[in-house]
Amino acid sequence: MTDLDNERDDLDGHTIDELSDYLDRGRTPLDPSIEGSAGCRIALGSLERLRQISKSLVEVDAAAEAPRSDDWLGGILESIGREARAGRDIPLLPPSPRATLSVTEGAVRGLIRAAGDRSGGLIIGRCRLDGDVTVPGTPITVSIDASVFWGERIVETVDRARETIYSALLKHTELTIASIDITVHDVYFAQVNDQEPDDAGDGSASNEGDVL
Amino acid sequence: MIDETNASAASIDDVVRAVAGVTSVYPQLPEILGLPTAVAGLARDVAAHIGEPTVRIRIGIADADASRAVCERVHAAVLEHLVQQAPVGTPASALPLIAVSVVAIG
Repeated sequence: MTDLDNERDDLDGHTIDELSDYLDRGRTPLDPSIEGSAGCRIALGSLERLRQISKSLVEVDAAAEAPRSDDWLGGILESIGREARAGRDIPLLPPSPRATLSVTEGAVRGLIRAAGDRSGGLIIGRCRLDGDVTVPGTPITVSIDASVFWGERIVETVDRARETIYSALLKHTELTIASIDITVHDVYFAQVNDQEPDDAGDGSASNEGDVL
Repeated sequence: MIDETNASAASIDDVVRAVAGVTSVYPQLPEILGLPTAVAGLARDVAAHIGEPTVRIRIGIADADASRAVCERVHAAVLEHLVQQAPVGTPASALPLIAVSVVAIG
């Protein structure tokens, strides 16, 4: 099976490119096969957030004439497609023995991505739930790769994201979260500051490759 | 015995859509695959004979309410709907299982 086949499976027969084109068209004409797919809806939400952030990146990159690898954006797009799939069922305590309630792993990954992006100062690249999420009480480690924007204090930004993600998980799941591990792989220009980059603050950021 | 048929699924969808916090009701696999109605029905019949008849509901929810709260509301609404549809005196054990799955949040 090729990567394209895998992507089509994950997104109910669609690809990230198709979803991107669909967004370009303003989601018109309405495509029921996309709008009726949970995976596609999760991916569309992630793409919309990524577009807003990447627009800022492109503008600032152009102003700073800083080289930026397209692999970065490609990697995030690939993660969005792969992680939108339903995955495992994460159980919730049922109200009766003749009912089962659950949240899909794809929904939780989408939740984590949205919470992380919303916390500000970073963008989530890859997200993984390590541990058997199908068995209540099993300690789960959330492993996240992220990129932090230039000028942000990495430790504070990551702590803020971790708290936001933990709150979201606490609200929507009954997972036993052992830890939320966030690894910062890249630092990119994303915000226009009046200050020169050298005055950014803690000096903890470089153009690429900073890892906590 | 109420089964997961096309007729009941359509009306259950309406019930689920009316529940507070539900933003979308997603189709089951046969519809996603674009199978003809007759084939989708056949697939459901086969599934019902393999395991216990189950009403499976896949929903998208708003971020405002906790998943569990919305799922419980959906379960209560569907159960009430099934009881109303069943012949008088049908025991609860004769009703299908209800499986509610949150597939998208926010």
